[in-house]
Amino acid sequence: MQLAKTVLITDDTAFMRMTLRNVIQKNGFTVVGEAADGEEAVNKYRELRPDLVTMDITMPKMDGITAIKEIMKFDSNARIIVCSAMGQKPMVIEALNAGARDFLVKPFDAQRVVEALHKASS
Amino acid sequence: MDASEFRDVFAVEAQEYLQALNKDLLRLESNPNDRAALNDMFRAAHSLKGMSSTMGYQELADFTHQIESVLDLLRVGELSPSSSVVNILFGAFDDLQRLLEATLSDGALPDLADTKAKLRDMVVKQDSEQNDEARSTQASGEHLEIDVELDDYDREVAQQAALEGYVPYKIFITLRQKTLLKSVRVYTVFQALENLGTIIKCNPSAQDLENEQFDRVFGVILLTQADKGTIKKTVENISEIENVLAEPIIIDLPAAEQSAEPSAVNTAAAEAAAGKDAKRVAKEQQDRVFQGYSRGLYSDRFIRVETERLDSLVNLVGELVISKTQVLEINPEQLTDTAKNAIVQLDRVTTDLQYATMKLRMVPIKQVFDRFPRLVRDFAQAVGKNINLEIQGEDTEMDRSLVNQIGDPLVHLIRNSIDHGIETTQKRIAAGKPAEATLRLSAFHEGGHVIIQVFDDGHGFELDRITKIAIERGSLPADFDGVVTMEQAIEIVFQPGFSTNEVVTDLSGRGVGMDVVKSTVEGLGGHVEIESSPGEGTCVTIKLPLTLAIIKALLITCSNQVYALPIQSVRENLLVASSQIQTVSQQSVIVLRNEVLPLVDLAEALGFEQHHHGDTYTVIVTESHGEKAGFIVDDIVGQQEIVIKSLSDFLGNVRGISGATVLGNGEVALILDHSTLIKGRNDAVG
Repeated sequence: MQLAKTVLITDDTAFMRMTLRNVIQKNGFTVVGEAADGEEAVNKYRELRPDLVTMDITMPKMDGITAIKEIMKFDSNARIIVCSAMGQKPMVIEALNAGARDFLVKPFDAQRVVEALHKASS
Repeated sequence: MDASEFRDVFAVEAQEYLQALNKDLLRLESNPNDRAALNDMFRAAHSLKGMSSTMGYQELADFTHQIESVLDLLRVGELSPSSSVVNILFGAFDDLQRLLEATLSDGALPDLADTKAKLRDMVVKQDSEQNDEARSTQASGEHLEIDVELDDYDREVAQQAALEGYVPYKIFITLRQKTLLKSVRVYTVFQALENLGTIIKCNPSAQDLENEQFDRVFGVILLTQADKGTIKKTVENISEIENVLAEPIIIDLPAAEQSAEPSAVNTAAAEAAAGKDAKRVAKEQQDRVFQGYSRGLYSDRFIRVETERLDSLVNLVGELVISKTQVLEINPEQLTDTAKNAIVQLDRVTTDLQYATMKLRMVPIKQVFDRFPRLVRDFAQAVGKNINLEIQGEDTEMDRSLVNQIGDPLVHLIRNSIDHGIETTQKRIAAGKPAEATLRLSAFHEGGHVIIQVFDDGHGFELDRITKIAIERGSLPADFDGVVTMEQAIEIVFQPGFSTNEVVTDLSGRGVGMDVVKSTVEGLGGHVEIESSPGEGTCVTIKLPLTLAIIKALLITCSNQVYALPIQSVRENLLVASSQIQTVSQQSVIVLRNEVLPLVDLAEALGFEQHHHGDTYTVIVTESHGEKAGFIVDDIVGQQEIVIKSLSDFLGNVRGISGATVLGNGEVALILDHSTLIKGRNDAVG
């Protein structure tokens, strides 16, 4: 039996989290948690050990890049997908260097989100 | 993506971001070096843009993007937050607000060309990737003819590498259409390929790839020990790749045939290892999934709920409280011990539930206070006064419905303070006061109440001026001599239509006075007090109940009907002998502890016939704004918690009645508004 892959959603806007959750859950993944900032994401990652993480870049408290570094320190096999907006190229590259597997650009295209999740989890 | 179901959440959150933007811009204005404020603003704009484009609100997303660009320039220090820049931004935020409202209400979008032009002017020198992005997306369709060739130098490198088992591969990669951030996608591809070997060449050039000066296809030459399948799989596993072609380049070299062998072995070994690993990983993942189910799913700290649902919950709890009262009224002698215990338990749980539900409706007053820094700034600028706004206790919680309604009275009080209370800078200096005036807005809990204060350190009430105006307006007799006392002045100020404005200003205007503030606050079950000391300032205190929905009331009967009086206004009950009732200027009064109280027959005040018999009357003493009065009632039923239901709009405002409630026995009782009952009577007399 193949179980649904678990996903932790990180974004500082509830709206974005809701949108992502909707797409992710409709496509056979299980959202196990949501985090509103980097710090929360790191804590939740330790607690929930999700298969996949979506990570916004600009967030209060701890930004996404620092959070990726922290998570990678804890679990070098973490599968993190960076979510960015247009015009954040340097940050996306930094995130990829920090260990992110893939990136998504807002506005999200549902198909792209699902593709990224599948590819990052395979 | 169909996002219409998210509209409400979007609306709420967008509004929050807009408020945050305004607030942070104020921070920046008062301290141009506040980098945190800039970062917060940038982030807010950025989030708003992302949300808007996800909702498909293109105009909103574009406009926010323009704002974000300016904020970015400020952030990186290429633009300094001069007052003109700040003012343009404030204007832009206002436009953003209008645009947001128009978008959400599907109305006609406002014309923002002016603001857009101003924003654009600030960004002229910006040479950002967005432009590049736009340019490259436009240049779609044409298929570049791309090939990568090894030059002599490359060939030499390849030959050298071939001796160590490396084979040069020509790889062509096609990105999917509409790929965003192509350069980063290319970067991902490069990174993945570099894991397999070394890239010695690419076409277009690294520079062009970086700047996204290409369409969808690019080629590289990779020196690798991996085989064709591995290369293809590696690249295909990256998102947004439409197609990968990989072909080995044949190099004239004696050692060439050896090259394939070791790599094949390596790959096989690696694959075997990976297979073993995969099983272990899969097992771990399963464990994690189970863990996730057990604790992860409920780990979200906040949920957003439609207020309508919350209101219906409050209503249901109200009904439950009524049923509970009904059960508590059952004669204990009719009950078994088990039933009695169960009822005690029911009573306790219901009370806790009621309390918990009330808490759900509590929101911090911050929601209202957050509007004020901007408001004060604009007002102060408009009248040319120098004002420092202090906000205290913004986390104080109060009932949501109160928060919604207290905003307007507060705006009015703030306008009053700025317009009338606070002096011009010159006058302040002349009076030996600090040039910068202080306006303090504070909120705190006291007993079962929320106290909100608006304080300014202006000139306080000018008694002589108030006297003059009161005489002009006829509030005082024309031959009034001297000046009014502070108490009288405060009373005058609360009279309808009173204003000390000599000039009609933008802010206060004319006509809306303190009486409106007072009646709004009293409509919410609270009251307003003013303290003022000439030369030192004025403090207006608003006292509000914590919640509106459920109150304690004293139930009384009058003309065979049950009525409820809010307990907060009841002071005491008396039995008064008819001989104690006196008449002073045609009004019945009683003397209580040397205080003369007007006595109102409730039946009469409500329009029933008087039908008292006997020598003693049951009198309820009420107090409102320090004024006491006695009400003659038929009987007292007792204290009870009641759920306030408003009279329908159909009935409108009924004098003397503030609402209705359903009693334990299912009977409806009207809730009395004692202050208007007294007033009504006074008016009738006077």
